[in-house]
Amino acid sequence: MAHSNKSVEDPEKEYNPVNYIPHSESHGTKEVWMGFWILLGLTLIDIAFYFIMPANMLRNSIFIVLGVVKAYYIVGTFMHLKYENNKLMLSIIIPIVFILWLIVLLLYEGDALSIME
Amino acid sequence: MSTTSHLETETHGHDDHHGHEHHKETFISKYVFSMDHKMISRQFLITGIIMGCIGVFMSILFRLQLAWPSESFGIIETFLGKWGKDGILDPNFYLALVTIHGTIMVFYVLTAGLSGTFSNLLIPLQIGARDMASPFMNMLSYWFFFLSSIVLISSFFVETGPASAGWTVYPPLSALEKAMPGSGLGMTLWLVAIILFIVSSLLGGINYISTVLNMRTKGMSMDRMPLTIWSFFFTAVLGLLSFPVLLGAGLFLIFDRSFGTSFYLSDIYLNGIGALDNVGGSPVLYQHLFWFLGHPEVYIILMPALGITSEVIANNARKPIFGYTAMVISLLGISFLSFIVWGHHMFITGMNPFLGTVFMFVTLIIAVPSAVKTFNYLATLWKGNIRFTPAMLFAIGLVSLFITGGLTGIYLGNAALDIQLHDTYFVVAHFHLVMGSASIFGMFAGIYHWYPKMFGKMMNNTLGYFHFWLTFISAYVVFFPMHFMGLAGVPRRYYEFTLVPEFGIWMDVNVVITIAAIVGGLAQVFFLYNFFVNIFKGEKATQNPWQSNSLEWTTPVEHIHGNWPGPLPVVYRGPYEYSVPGRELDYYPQNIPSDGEDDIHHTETVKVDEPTIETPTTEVDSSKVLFASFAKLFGLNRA
Amino acid sequence: MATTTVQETESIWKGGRSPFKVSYGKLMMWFFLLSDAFTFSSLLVFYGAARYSLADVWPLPDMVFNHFPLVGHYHLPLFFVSLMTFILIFSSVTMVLAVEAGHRNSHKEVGKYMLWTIIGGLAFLGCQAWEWSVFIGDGAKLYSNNFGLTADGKSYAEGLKVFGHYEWSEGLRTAGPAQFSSLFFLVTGFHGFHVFSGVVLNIIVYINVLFGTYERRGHYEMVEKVGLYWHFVDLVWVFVFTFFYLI
Ligand code: HEM
Ligand SMILES: [Cu+2]
Repeated sequence: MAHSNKSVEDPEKEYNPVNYIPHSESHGTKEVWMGFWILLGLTLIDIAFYFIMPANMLRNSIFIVLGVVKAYYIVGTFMHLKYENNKLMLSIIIPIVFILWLIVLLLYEGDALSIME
Repeated sequence: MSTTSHLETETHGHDDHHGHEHHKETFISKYVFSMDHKMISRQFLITGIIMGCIGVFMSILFRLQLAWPSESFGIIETFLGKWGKDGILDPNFYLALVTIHGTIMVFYVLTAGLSGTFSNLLIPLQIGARDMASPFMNMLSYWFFFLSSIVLISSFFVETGPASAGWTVYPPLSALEKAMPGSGLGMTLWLVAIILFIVSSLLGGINYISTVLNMRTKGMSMDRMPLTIWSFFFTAVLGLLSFPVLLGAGLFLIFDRSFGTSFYLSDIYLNGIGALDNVGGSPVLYQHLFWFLGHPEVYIILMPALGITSEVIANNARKPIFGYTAMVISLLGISFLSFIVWGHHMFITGMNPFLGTVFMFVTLIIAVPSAVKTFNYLATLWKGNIRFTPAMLFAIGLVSLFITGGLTGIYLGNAALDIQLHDTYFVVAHFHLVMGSASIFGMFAGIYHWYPKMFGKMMNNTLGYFHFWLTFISAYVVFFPMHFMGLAGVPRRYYEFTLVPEFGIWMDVNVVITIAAIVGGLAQVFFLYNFFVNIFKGEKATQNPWQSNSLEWTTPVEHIHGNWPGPLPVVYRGPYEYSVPGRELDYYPQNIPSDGEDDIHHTETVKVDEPTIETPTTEVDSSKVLFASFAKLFGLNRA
Repeated sequence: MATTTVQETESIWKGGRSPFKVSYGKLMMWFFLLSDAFTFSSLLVFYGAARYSLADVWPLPDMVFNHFPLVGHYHLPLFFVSLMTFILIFSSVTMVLAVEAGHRNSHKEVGKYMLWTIIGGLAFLGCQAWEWSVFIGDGAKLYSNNFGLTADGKSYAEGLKVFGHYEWSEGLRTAGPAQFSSLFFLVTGFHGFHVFSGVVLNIIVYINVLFGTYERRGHYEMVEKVGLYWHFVDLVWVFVFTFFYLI
């Protein structure tokens, strides 16, 4: 990856965890604006679906999928995670499975609660 | 002061909070608002011990009530005042005591006191760092904890008494101010205390994780980290991901209590109040969110103790830990599983029965990594050249308690069996053995083992043996009979059983338990004396009193800021290379290069990177060693 | 190239270096955000469960959030909240631009874009205040609301199928599920609180930029760290938008 920061590789420089700041280069602003237009576009698509489709499970699923895509651009491009070390990327993303598990189980639970009422 | 000048070149005062080495140390900056991890760890430990004393004392008060229901005890009136009129414990206050006892022990002693103490002490020392990543946040972490303790204790001094809804504070008891006296201001204070606690544990956890990842010294690869560090690391991850969910649960609860929302409340009927106005909420949702923290929490409590045990057992058996990788993987497995099994606490709460099956399935899988760890401890002990120091005894005690208590977990994990066992003394027995006692034993093992490092003094072994045996025996006498009570259906959190004639047969058992609890409580006096007196009067410690491999013993006995006077140590091997064949000494410190710079003659045949596990350390018959050690043990004066 | 990558991954954990090649501060920020993500998830998951269990009576957003400032009583669902979304995303963009300028050590530009970010954050908070006040004016309270049936018997749970001008029948409406407004206030409030803290942090960093603190320090990592926080707030909004306004 051309973007990775090379200062650690420098064997002359002693690593000091306290003030270690990897040198970061600018990637230019092209991608940022790209991300912006994509997010804007996705939001417009959201709105379009909102008005052309009746409220149902399919529409909700579309919204959720689009939300996840938006999240991808925010986290990947804006928060720069795409360019971070991929181990960091994994350690941020893997824990999200627990949230998914919580979501699935609690939706089941919400369903059961409504039966009880 | 050559150390200071060295530090100055090291840290450059780059970040504002790292520049503090330059300032003169005053009493306040050294002992109170200290940013040195060793001092913070001592603060955590001492606060934890004080909280522990309070928690244990409360348990003795309510045990008196259980053994001799509605009999008068002067001590109850002395300490509880209007809640112990004529020496008889007020029934509502019984619940308050149980609640605060549980809260204190779970959060304040075994989470902050255990993982806070030892993560702070050992993470920088064992990975070769000068301090935590952010000493400032580390200090905040302690002070939030301290504040939280104060808030919790202060709830004893409010008119209506402290929270009384159990340590899990289930609604509606916790959500309705009017439900019982303890649901009033005391409950609010409980919530405030826990939110402060969550902040503290997040500040600590973020720090521990970043430190372990970023600050390891040269050569300290992940697979050369002591298992303590692995366990603190996973503990911090568990806390990081589960405490925020408790924060969410607590927010909803605060809104229900104070702003009239109906998150957890529905139109239930309340004696004396009538039906509530609330519609549509469900307390089951609280339980989900609570146990999403609650189950990881029990491992937050246990895992540091397991890590400490690994270290202490390997060191005192003078053997490499059996199955280092398996130990790490099972810690990882436990951490992963602990996030997906929380529903086993809710089998009979009206949860969707389909989920019960799912939770039962994943719960029972936890037995696998737990068993891996247990057998690895046993295999490490096997044919070891065991030194029965107090720390070692406590570590072995942990293994014993972990097995006993863990087995009953398998029973409870069965949704069908749990119908009978839930909310009985069986559950009390289970978690007190596997979590309560086992983790306390791990904590004691850690204290006895690292006391020389923390305070530069030695503890007295004789007192340690008294402490261990009394505690160990009373732990079993207190908690083992509870299994049978629970199987017979005796419910937990009841003030007295005099109205149920069937339970009359358990009266004598309750008396035995209470007596054992008092003995166990008094046994801690040995510890407290040993601990506090030796801080001042103890024999001065040597640098490496346990002939240990890990890096913390390469620092000077006197604490210095930055831990190592010279450059940071460099690591050449794993932490468990004990009794390496061909070496004169039976240990091989991590920081000694293998080409023999340590002026001790040894052959070059040992390959450093492979821990040699199968080599038996000595040819001595292990039963003889065991016997001799026991003999030594009981000839206490020679210890 | 391939071989160097392999070597890198081999030595990355050896100690004496940062395995992820990030400073400890940024690492801490990432893990804090991860844990904050769990906080928000717990709130949103609760919302999901509550809504699922009350699906029959849960008001649809287009019946409720259909106002736009200064246009009178038109039925304009989604328009205002889309504007809010746009503002927040745009402030995220200016934030990235500030970070990017920091990488070039362009003191002036960092300041400029930080200022725009702060303005965006304040604008968002202003919008949210307006949104709340309309919602409250409509009869929503923290513990109850009247989004059950309209005066002419139309259910809020079914939604409207018309756009543009719509005559709202005056008169009493019945109560809707209390959780609808409670959750709205709690979750958007908690998010708004995050936005607010983000603005405060941004202002602190902005002042430091003006004073040249980071220029003297030689790097603008602090801007990057608050940037991460700011984008996270944006990220949460994406899901709040999805679950509270779209679905
Ligand atoms: C083999 C592993 C384990 C299994 C299968 C297991 C299973 C269970 C189950 C099913 C319950 C719920 C019982 C009920 O309320 O009816 C329970 C309660 C409990 N367990 Fe475990 N457990 C295991 C290990 C542990 C460990 C290692 C700890 C602590 C370190 C622990 C701490 C607790 C606590 C604190 C409770 C009671 C909480 C309360 O209701 O107040 N368990 N366990
Ligand atoms: Cu559990």
